[in-house]
Amino acid sequence: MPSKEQVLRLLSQGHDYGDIAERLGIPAGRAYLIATGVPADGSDSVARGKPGREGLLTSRSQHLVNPREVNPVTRRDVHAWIRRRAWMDRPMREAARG
Amino acid sequence: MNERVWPVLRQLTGKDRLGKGAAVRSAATAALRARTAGADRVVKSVCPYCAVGCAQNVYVKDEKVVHIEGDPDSPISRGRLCPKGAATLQLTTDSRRARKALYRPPHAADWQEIDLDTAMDMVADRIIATRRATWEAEHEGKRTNRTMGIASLGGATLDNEENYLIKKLLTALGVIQIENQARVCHSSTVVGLGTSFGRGGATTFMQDLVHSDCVVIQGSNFAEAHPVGFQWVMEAKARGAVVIHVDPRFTRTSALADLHVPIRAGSDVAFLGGIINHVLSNELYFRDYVLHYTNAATILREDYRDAEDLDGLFSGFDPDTRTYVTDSWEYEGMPVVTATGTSEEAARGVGGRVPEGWSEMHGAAGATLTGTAQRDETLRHPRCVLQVLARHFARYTPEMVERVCGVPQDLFAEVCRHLTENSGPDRTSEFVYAVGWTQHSDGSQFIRAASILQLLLGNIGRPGGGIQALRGHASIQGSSDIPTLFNLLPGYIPMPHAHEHQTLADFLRSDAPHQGFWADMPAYLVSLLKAWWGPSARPDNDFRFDWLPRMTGSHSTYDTVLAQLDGTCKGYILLGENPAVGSANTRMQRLGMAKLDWLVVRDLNLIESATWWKDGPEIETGELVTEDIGTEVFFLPAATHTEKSGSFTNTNRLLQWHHRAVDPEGDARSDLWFMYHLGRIIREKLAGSADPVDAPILDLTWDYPVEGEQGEPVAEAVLAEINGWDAEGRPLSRYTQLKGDGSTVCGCWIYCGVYADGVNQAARRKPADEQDWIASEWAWAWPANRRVLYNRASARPDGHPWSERKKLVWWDEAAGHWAGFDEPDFERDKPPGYRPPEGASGTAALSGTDPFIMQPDGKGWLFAPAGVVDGPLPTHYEPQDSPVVNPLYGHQRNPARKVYEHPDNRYHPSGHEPGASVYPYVVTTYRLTEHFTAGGMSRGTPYLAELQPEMFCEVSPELAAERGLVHGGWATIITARNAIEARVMVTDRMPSLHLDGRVVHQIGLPFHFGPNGLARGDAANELSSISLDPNSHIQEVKALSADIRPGRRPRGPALREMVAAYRERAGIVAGTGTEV
Amino acid sequence: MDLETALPGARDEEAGYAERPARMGFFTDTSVCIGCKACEVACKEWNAVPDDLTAFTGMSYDNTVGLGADSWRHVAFIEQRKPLGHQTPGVGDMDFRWLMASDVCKHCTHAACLDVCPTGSLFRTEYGTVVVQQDICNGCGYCVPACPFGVIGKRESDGLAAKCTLCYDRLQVGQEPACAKTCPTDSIQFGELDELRERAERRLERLRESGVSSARLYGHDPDDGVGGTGAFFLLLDEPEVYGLPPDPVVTTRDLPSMWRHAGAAAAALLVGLAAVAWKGRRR
Repeated sequence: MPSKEQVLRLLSQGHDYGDIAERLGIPAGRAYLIATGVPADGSDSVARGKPGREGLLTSRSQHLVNPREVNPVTRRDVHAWIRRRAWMDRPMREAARG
Repeated sequence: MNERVWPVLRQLTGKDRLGKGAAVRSAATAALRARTAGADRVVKSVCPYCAVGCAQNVYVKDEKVVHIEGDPDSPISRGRLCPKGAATLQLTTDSRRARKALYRPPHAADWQEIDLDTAMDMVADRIIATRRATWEAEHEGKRTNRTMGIASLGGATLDNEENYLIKKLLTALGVIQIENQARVCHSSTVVGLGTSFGRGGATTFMQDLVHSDCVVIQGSNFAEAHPVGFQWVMEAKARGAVVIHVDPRFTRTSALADLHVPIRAGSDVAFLGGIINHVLSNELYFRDYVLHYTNAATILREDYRDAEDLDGLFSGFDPDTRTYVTDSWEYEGMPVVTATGTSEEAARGVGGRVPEGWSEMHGAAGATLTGTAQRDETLRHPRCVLQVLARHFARYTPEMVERVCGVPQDLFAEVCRHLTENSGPDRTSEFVYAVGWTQHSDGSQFIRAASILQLLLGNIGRPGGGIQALRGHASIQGSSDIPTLFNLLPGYIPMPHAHEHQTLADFLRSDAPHQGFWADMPAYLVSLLKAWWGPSARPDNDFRFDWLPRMTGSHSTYDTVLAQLDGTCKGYILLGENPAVGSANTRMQRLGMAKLDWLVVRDLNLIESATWWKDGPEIETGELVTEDIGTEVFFLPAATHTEKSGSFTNTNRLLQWHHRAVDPEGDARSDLWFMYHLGRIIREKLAGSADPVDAPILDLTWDYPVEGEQGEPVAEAVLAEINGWDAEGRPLSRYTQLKGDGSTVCGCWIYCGVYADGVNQAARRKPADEQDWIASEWAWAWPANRRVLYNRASARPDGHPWSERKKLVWWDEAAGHWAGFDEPDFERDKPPGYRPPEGASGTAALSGTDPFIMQPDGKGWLFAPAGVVDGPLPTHYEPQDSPVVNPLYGHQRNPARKVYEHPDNRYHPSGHEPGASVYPYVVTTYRLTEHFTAGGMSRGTPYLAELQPEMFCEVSPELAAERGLVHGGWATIITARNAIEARVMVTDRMPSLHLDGRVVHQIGLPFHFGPNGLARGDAANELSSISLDPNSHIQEVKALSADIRPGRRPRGPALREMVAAYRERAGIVAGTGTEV
Repeated sequence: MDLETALPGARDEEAGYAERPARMGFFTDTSVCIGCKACEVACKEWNAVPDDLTAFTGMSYDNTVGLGADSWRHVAFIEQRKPLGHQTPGVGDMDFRWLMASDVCKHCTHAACLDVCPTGSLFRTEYGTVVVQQDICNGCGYCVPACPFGVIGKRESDGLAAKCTLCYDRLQVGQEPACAKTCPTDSIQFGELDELRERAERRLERLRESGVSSARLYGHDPDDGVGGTGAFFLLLDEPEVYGLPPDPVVTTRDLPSMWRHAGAAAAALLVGLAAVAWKGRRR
């Protein structure tokens, strides 16, 4: 079972949590928890409580735990659909011209 | 340490000699993997319960949702969820969830399964047939082009895109009676806040609570109803803020407050009025703020008469119509013109009534004043608003507060002290409220009172200040904005009223000089009409403005119930709402449904509103017999939020997108799917029709893209239409781009910008850790992503912040525009020193010191010359049913309230009236953390049901002794409407109050329960009556009177007999309680 | 073998791990609990703990009643006619307060359940927590009476023991235990035990300064009868008020001395028998 000292040592050697996970054969999120004492998916109140905590990621640590994240913000088919709607509205285009 | 090695061997050869740790780990333990990390994907979503809008991570494996928990990136929730949010997995995946479409033929004893497509076809046929049979081209000589035969109800937990299609389709079909939970929940908010400040929504956002020095929670049980939002109160408390909870009960909120003030349910106007009086008489108001930013200095007309002069009435009351003619309330020399051109005179000419929904329109939109205000900058003129205010509230003394509210004077003084000490340039106080204020027959005035107080204290528009209206459902703000309400079009544009010659120009009064942002009303309305009727909407046909059905009065959900009872309304569609538990007078709701030809219910479970014909309370009493009920019922299972994409608008006007994680199973479909395909099928059936009545539905733009096996409409396309685009098909970014010439499309002008640049701004998820406390890149708020409204008021008239400690936005002289932490709620480059030239109109008429930009005079309204139909100033009236005499005025109840005289809706004698003592106790209804509204999303969910498994009532030890109630036993509670039973909780938390020389006992009733589900009980709303606030048409369920007796209630006909016996004892007849 | 070190009470925290992370646990600050029960639900949801629908208990808002195999978090509600610091309850003239607290398995330093488990199902993890391995448990139930807090129980459905695991599977991927993550007011705090103990001391001091003299810590003291707990609390009244034992002792505490006494008795018996036998031989 990896210890805090082990993980912090690897961090200080410049490895990121992904590397450390591979080396130690544990999930990246667990390495994070062991190193910092803060869960990778916790809210910020704990982390903010103690400044200068080694190994802390300022943001997006939940990616160390989660699988692929789904949150699309654009859809090209919708853009095309809008353009078609506008194109089919002749009075609208006339009004824009006039 | 290898878990495959025999444990004993490991114990003997390893370090774990005692065999308590490493040696005994099994292979399974070693292989343990959290199903979150092992899932295929995590989809970003939002909790479907309340309006805090906690972000959720939805984990999917093998196309099944395997886990749901909070998203720590959210600036609002920080990864936390309340018990309901934490139960979302069970809500969405429980095997008991309804997944089959069901059909009940007329007079049938039970359901039968039905093929979904067949059901859709039948529903479309019903709608077409009923519409044809009940079509009304004219009403009393005026064109209405509508059907009063069909109504819909719901839904505040539906997506904005769903509500948009509901409103669009049904309106095009000529349906006027479109309503949702917003009517019965926070409609008073739109009026109260809108009239006072210009927009009818919360003025701030929850995270801003950390900046507050004093938080007053009143008419809200924040910790129980919005637990995750409550963390921000705790943050404020940790920073030294004083937390005060004013509530009839000592609740879980009170347990964390510094000060709890028990108050008689329904007496908040007197309480707030007392504080206003204290502030005015002791000159503790924030003078500079009041002078410059409110209408305190404006002079009123000479013929204005106050409640002081007329013993509780204002000038202009017509006892025959029970309405006010409000001319005398206007500013001197500034007659009111509505932004939609229906002047008071014109309106009065048509039936003598102010058009229904006028208040809400005013509340949201603001009226137009013509002329120039006369002001007294010394605030001494006897007819200036401040002096009128002082005279009006002079009788709300601490003694009076004690008499009316039951609040001891020392406690009252404490509240006054905390509020006044924590307001001013360096300190701010915030009010938080919910339905404890809105759900009264004068609910709009409760909110008006708080608005006045906050304006006097100078707290509006400032960090840690403002008024936080806590709305209750995931997207009830959205279902008010979009809206599925009878009297409004998207963006709070009023539905047109039937008048002669009502052309678009008449409606818009484009010839009248308008001030402020409502001058752009034509742009907003025309863009909406273009969104709906596309190429068919042209300048030469008024952009099809004629095709909108017309109102002729009130068509609220309660009017619909009466219309069902009298046979006018024949078809009803329920979309995620449960009126058989959640609306006032639930018995009447069911009796109304029993008269329908057909009923469509869409929900996650078989709610009471779907099964009343089979096993509802009236079947038990024998009033209804299943075989005699001819209502045809369709039950169509609904998809949950994990099974559809769309946006919710939370209580802080924030639109947050949730993505579909998996497809719904069985027959479950989203309401987007339902509305879209219903519309498609109806249009197919009507295709080729030459009847002009069918043109609005055939020419409706209805070609949304669909995807997947189920043909689910693409919600982003609907969002894009709501946002709007220009003639090139480019999504718009700001509502200032909208035009009234037909060259822009926009489904809801206040949402314009949510799809700016073709990016779904509502889906933005920049973590809170990467932003400041405003977090403006998380999702999108209206208007224009502003978080604290009216924030111009956080700076002095000269543009500097009132103080360093409370700075928010300020004028940057060097840069020549407003700057700060938040998006300025003001024209960016209008300097503080700008003064409008003579005759200016539109936004040019607003000066550099007018923070309330949606108000016609740019000022916060202490006195409301327009927009509130039952009084320009809040006045204490007793609730409809009250055992207490109004000590303040001769008028017991709100003279302008709406009453519905009906044998099933009898009111109680009150105060001194004979028979009042038959119902001697005050009842208040409320929520529990563990359940959600009318229970459809919690009573059937085992993890929630087990937390609060049965209906109970809360009574004080004194009341228990008086009536012989036993803790843990049963009690029956009776009103003139119905009687229910409940388990008894005798507790100190429901104190009896000493006021006016007597003891008033109060009974507390959670309102979630109903006969269905796992956690069962009688519904509290069996007891309530329909008596409405005249502005918002909201019912009074927060304060009524009742009797209570030990023991269970009678079953069968004996129940009705008991209710009747009580009525007789109280001498209740048709007109009881309906007096002005 | 040295009896002192070979028997329960010794070296539990090491439990045979050559290297291990810091000890993790819970600090439950009941002074900020709003009694919402999100912890109960989140725990059940994550761990698929069966629901347990009962009737209205009338025990204030507590319908869960206590910890057991089917309730691994339990929120207690106590209505008292006592003041709470400078809070003004406003309920007539009397003092009043409503205490709310979320109870959980203590993950004791000296864990009796662990001591008595004959199969090795219960074990000490590398985080110092105590976890039931359901694939090993044989349902003997010895652990149930052993727990001084009445936490662990046997499930009716399958007869196996069940209790809070401090979300061991979540820790293994670096996730916060479900109850701590969901708690709206951060009443349940998760982290390294040393750090939590420091935080708790500071919080206690602040609370006492603000006038809440009845505030105290429970389970934080390594010298108490269970060696201190991995899940400890800030309470606002006596433990008994919350249904907690005031002076919990690991029920196997006396085992070493019992064995010694037994050993001494056995030795004495042997000596006695030998003496009798020797005496008998003379004849």
